[in-house]
Amino acid sequence: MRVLVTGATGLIGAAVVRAARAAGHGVDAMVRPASPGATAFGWDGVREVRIDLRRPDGLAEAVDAVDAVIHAAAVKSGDLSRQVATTVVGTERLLAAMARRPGRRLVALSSRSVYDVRAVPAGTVLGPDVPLDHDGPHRDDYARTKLFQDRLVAEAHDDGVAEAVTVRPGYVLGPGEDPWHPLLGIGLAGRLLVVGRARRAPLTLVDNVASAIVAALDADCVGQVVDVVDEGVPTNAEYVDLVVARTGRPRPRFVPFGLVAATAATAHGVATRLLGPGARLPSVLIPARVHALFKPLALDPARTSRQLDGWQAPVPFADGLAGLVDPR
Amino acid sequence: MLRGSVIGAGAIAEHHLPWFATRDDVTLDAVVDASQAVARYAAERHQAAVATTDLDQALARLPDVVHVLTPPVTHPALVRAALEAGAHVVCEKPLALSAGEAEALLDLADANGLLLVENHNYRFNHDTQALCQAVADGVIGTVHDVEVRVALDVTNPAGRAGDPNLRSGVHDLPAGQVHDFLTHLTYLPLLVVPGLEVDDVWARLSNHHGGEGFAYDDLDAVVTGHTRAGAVHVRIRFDAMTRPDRFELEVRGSQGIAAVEFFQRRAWIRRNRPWAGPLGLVADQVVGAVDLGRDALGNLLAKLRGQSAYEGIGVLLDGLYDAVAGRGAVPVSRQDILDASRLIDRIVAAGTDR
Repeated sequence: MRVLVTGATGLIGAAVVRAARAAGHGVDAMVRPASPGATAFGWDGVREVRIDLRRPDGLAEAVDAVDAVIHAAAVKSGDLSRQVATTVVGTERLLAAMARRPGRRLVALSSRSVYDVRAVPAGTVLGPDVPLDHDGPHRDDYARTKLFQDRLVAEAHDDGVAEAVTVRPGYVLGPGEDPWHPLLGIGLAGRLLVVGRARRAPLTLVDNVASAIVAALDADCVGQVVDVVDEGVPTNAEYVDLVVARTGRPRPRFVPFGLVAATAATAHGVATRLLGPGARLPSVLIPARVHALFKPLALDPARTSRQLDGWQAPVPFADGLAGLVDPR
Repeated sequence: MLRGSVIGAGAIAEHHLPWFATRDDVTLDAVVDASQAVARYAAERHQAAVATTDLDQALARLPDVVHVLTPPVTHPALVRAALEAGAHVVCEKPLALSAGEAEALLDLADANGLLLVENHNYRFNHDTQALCQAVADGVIGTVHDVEVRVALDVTNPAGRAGDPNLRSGVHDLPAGQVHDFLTHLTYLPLLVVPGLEVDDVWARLSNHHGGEGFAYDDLDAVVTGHTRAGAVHVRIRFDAMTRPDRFELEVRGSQGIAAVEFFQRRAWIRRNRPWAGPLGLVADQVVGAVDLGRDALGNLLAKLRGQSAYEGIGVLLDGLYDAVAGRGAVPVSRQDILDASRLIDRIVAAGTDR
């Protein structure tokens, strides 16, 4: 089928373009006007569509030309209004364009950050057993806009605008990413404090999540949320051993999740009592964000495989990680 | 119960919308935006009755006050529509792109018995008020020199003005990107030097960093004038090249200096102490250290409380809604708006004439 990929120059989007081509799909890669395009990414046989989702120019025609859409465009930086103006307005415009010819497949990229992991005990499987959070300053602006984007996509599905599949990857590791990823621990004065030795962070390699997204184009999973984490993700202790051995970086210290969560809860409680409900603290002292980043949850990659008609991740996690971490 | 409606749910609306929850006698009626999703998102978070893209629908609900928070070029038409619908208006700066246009809108408001206020939020910051009080009390003697300076990273590609993928309409304003800040840069000197008569304006607007799409990103302006007490020199700077971002107001008088930095919330006063001899220098160092410690603690507490440099918006809105309810004077007068607008006209004319 012919697929439009939004956010095609992003970490995930670029991998999706490659995976969709490898799966035999025709790809229209949506690239913002000032971004590097096909040449920089070495895409072969990819049609480049120069559009910024914040403007309507050319969008309807671009969407009319395809059988399905993979929506990977979003921003992660800037204040709330900027993220809303980009992520939410972009999704709104895309859905309006899809409504011109309803019923096509839409694979929308969401985030695990929309879950309210405070509401569930440690060890709960990340996925449908975890409720969605609500909007509020207790969550970062990225999570807030992703929550609202997910609602727009779900409503479009319910209204018959698109056959929507929502994909929520774990933290995505890809080329250029620091192996000391944000779900591993807290950076303090240039040193890393890894939260939880035995915890397995919800991680996925970019090529694996891209493959899952492409599989969602024709799998029997319409209307579902597909959480993507990799099989064989090591514990934090094992992960640290691997990175330290491979890179020679200084070995970080470990701190239990309970201590980090209790510190955040205490600091937040004191600040709220002294400064009122509008108190603003650093992220590491905001309980909702500490839980979202570091709470030990169980991972169920087999569920992803079942949802995607037996799909298997193409890259074993250990192999992929070894390829991403520069040897010393 | 007074009802307010907000037109434009972008960045500055994030500083208006939370204010509604601070008042028991005011409700948020409608949020209007070009995007239904954006309007709805803002309306849900701030408990508005209506989210719409239809301005007429919002105005037909007859709000008492309309907040015009859209891009500058849209202000005159939206303000006019709100006034013609019988609403009082608070408009984000600049109210209009010329003093003549601003005056026409103020005339329309007057003719309809309505209040029209341009957002001069930094007037109402605590530090500005304290500085004005110190000047009025003669703490720094007769004011002869004012410098107001903004440094903003507007050329950053991740920001609104510098975004290479979506050219901002702000570059099409008479002074380009700089115009968006000129209102603050003019009403503050006029505020701290009451009765200033402008004699001459020298200005240079330039695209200093040479960014594509930018008309101007830099302003250097000198305003000379006088009050009954003597000559006054005002320097106005906007710069996009130096970091960190800052917004400084420094007022120099015959007996001392008073200064405010809004973004980092610093404020200090230095008084001339000729009678103290060498001890005066020591005293200045001690006072400076105390000021620094006080500002650092105050700034930290303000950040923890979630306060920002926009604290004055709440004070302005309190004043406006109280005035609408017949409890006090309008917080920004017609004369305040016109004086700033006329000075902007002269700066733009001088700055673009080179």
